[in-house]
Amino acid sequence: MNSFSRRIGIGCFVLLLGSAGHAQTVTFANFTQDTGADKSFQFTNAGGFVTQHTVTAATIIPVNFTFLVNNTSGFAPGSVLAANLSITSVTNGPATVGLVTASQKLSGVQMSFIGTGALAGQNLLTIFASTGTLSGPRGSSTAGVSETDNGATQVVQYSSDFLDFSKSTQRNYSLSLNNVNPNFDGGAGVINSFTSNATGQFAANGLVPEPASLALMGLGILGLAVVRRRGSSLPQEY
Amino acid sequence: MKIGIRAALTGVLMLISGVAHAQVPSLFATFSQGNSTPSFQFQSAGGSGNFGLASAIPVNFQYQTANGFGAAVGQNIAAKLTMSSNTAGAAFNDSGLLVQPLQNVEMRFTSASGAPDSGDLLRVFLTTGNFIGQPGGQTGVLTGTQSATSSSVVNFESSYLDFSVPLVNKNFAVSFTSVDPTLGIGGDGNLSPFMATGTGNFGSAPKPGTKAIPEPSTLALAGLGMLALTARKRR
Repeated sequence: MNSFSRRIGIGCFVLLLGSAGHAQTVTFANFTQDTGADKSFQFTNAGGFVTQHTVTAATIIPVNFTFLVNNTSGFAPGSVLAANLSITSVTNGPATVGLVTASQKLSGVQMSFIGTGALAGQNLLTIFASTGTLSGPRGSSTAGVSETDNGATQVVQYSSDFLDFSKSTQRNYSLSLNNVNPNFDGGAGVINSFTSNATGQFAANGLVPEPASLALMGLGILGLAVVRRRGSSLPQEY
Repeated sequence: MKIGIRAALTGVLMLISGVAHAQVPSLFATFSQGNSTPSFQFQSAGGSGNFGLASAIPVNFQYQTANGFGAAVGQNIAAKLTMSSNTAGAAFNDSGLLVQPLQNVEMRFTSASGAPDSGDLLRVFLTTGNFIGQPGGQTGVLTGTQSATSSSVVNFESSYLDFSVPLVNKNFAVSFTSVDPTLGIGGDGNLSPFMATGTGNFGSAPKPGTKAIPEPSTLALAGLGMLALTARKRR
């Protein structure tokens, strides 16, 4: 094998390794709220930051749920599925009120999307997050709840009847809250109580690769084989 | 007289409660990205940055109120989204949260199945807003509010919703996941460049009304009527 083709071969191999070991997360599911339960996400400030506050759905909320990756539900990625969402959490320590933003650490964030209609009773997705951060611009009608798994103090876990998370090492979720009423704000370590609407997204790495990326990987291996063959069968060029 | 005063007082009270009620915003539209491609792109060089989409992306769009498009409330509409915005000053750390001020945010939703000129499902304009996330995090939220307590200007337009009623509150929020590389402030003072996936919601007080698209035949009839009127005036 001449040095040029050997270099290409090694390059291909490194590329392959790179794509396999990349920890970038993929957003595998999202949801939007139906108007049926308008402003049913509520944050309750029970008096002081020692008392537990909750971000919870007063009722079970009808949502449009969508898988964005291949799954075993029988529905193609991108199909909108009817589901019910329930959510609970408690506050974790005092709120931080900054210059333009306010935020509140949450713990025990649990969300569950249970199918209705065609997938009635099935666990589309359940989120167990040890922590979450409720944050938003002060005085606005908007905020968010999100967290990134850091493998230690912030742990995000998923379970689903239709997705395999056993190989996932990195996960993150984000909910956007709007129609926050009264306006999002706080003081003295406490976020004011409010009700709101929500939509959100969920991401993880290590999900089963899609056929397209598998095909690409196959092509890469093929290319490697071709390079090797050429290198050994062709006469030396120099 | 007493009854009159009482009635007047009740009237005022009713007015007050009516106004207070109208200020509570409600959901009128939602969208979620239709695929898992991280298409939202933050770029920055030399202190000048932009956040948006390089090209239109497929989204699932839902009206959460009666509309002139003919879609039921909550019904999914296959749509396309375009988006652009510019940075409005350097990013900063506000008590542990990274804030990137943005300006001239524009989002446009059009039906994926309709004719190219079938109008806008929704257009959103925002003078100033914020992208907020945690340092080292893979998530963020882009939000904007126009209300009595917020100086931003949010404008909604739609071919199928009527926003001509004065709105006392207009707001939207888009949540992002799969932010890669993770959030941080770059050498030029803005957020470091990243890609992400997004999903969002739109609200107002009061909710917009329905805007019916006049059919060509209706327009023709109106035209005929005008013509007749002009002719009559001439005579």
